[in-house]
Amino acid sequence: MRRRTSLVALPAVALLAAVAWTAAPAASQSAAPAVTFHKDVAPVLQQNCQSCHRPGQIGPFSMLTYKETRPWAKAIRQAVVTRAMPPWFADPRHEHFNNDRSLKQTEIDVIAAWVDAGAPEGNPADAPPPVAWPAGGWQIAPDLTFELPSYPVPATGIVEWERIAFPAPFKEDTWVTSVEILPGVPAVVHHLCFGFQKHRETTPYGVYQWMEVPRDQNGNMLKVDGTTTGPRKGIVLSRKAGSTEVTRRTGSPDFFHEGTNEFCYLPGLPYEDYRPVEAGVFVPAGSDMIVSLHYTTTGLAVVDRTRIGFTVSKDAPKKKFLPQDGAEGENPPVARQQANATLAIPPFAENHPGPMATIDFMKDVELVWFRPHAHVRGKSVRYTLIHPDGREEDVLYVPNYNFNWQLTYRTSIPIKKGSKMRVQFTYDNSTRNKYNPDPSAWVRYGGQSWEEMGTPNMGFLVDQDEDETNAIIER
Amino acid sequence: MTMRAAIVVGVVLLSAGVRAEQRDVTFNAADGFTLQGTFYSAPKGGPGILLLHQCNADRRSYDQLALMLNNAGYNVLSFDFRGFGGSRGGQYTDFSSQRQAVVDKMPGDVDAALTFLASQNTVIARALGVVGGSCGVNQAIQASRRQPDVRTLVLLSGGTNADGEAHIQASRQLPIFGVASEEDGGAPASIKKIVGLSAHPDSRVQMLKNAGHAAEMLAKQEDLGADIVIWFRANLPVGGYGLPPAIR
Repeated sequence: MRRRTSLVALPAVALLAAVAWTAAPAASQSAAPAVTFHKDVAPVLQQNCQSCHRPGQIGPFSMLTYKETRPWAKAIRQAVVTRAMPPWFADPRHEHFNNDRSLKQTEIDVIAAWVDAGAPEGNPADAPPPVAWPAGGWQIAPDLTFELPSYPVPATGIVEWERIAFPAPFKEDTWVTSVEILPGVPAVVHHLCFGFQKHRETTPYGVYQWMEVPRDQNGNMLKVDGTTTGPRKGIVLSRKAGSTEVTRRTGSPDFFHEGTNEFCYLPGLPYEDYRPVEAGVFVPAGSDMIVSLHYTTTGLAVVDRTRIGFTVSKDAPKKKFLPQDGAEGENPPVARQQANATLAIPPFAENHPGPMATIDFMKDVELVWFRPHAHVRGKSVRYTLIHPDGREEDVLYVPNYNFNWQLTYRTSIPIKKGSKMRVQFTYDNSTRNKYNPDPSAWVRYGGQSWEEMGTPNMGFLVDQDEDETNAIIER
Repeated sequence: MTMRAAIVVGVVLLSAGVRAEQRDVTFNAADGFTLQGTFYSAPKGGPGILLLHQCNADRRSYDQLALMLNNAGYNVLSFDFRGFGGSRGGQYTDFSSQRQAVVDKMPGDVDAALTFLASQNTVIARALGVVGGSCGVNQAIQASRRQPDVRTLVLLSGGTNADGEAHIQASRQLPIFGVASEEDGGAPASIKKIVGLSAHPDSRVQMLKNAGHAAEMLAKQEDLGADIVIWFRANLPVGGYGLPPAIR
């Protein structure tokens, strides 16, 4: 999570003076430019842009140096003035997010003034010290890393959700305080999530397992029952990591993750970090790590090799993370909260509401993040908190949901027992949606990107010694 | 090339060190004629972009743009039409004296280039884009008529024929970015007409001033290269989710 308290920005008065200077026709050409890259722009870029705009990251160009940044000056101006960048999609009327990536108006003004002045470099001596970014493409500087086996993603076809288990990479009781997941080929990863649970004798290590999901010729699930991966009984397929041999049997998978996937890679999601709120996820010694993988074919066969980085603590932080679906084995498994089987988006519908989700809070918790998830037809999502006295309050509205930027919106909202959360997704199945693969299709619930869902993910903290059992009941 | 443009090329070359992998390549047109090009591969895989040069220059006029696109995650192929640059040989040695013969062969040369590009093992063959300059504008539009995997066009200072206009009008899924310089003869009107015909809501036109013709604009307006890269990132995503699923 980014701390904004250390932001370096020009005071507004100085900025206005700078803009006025650059606009003044009588300004002396021999005078130093008022707004320069090294003095004014570089601090803004360091704080807000370089995490993605540096070699090896997702940004299409580097902003580490003046020479690298200068050819993009006008495009940067356009992106920040229109607030297209940095990516942040929450309605600003609900300003309680502590990881808000939006630039302050003063920062936007600095960049605009710099570009309007011809993007002068200025004196390199004015530049702040370069940021010491972690090596290896990481953003969190992990204490330890774990590499998943190579996964060959075919050029075409449907890859169902798969699971694979490993011994957790910790030798003793551990608090995980942040996690970063780095796919080798991000373009083919729809999601890669994992969580921890006690080892069971029936859980094999290093074996991918998935259910056969009957589908029609367009890839849509034949039986839409509100689950993403088909029934828990049926044809089970297995493949050892590193092998191409797939075995089939009738029955149930050898293992599930009974709790919630605490950590995820999703397109556009940077990393999970509980350090700023002095919290963590407790992983007892001997736990298993259950990984859920969902790859999407793009037309190009590739081999993905994903790395996972952890920061950890042996000492218990003040608070512990409580996933939405409860702790392992103590609450219902990950069942969808809505009447998902009723989701049916008509052809060419521009603003179709999905089934409403309602979540009841059975005790006091601290809500610390939202991570709404829909697929390529997702248009908007609204979270409405209903207090015990009946008062309603919108706590997150994302008017322009974007599958390629699935952000976590971090906050700190104390929620009282007896409260409810209503979550409403809408969908755009029209030709106006440039990511819509087929506006003429009816779209129903399912786990593939051409199917739809509306998952109102949230995260909660409780005190480290709190009994979290039955804190939340979903319906 | 101006001094400023040369500096920009140098900067891009330096910053390209992380990802750019470029190599000169040759491939044959259907009639066996050998065409020369430069292929810039995207190591993690990605869409492919074909660069079609204007008829008073060769593929080198796109060197800077190719590197910028490649750094942004794209596979890029620039090549010399027969009679230009490294593709001179046999009966095609001088475009000015063989104009009609060369133009007649251009569609086949473009098809060969698209086939070569799509066959590279880092290219998502169903996600292609084309940049065309001047006489390359019509070739880019005609290429998208023949090849449905061309999903967006960037057109610099040129026009098209009636078939091309009809195609643009009918292509609701083909966003077009058109650019011309205001003083450049009929180019601004041609580009405005093409973009105006486009049925895609995101298509747009950008008019520059005193920027020259086609790829010359890249040298005179150093921001244009960035605009083109941003266009492609928005309309030909390097991830797979801007595309229909590759079920079959």
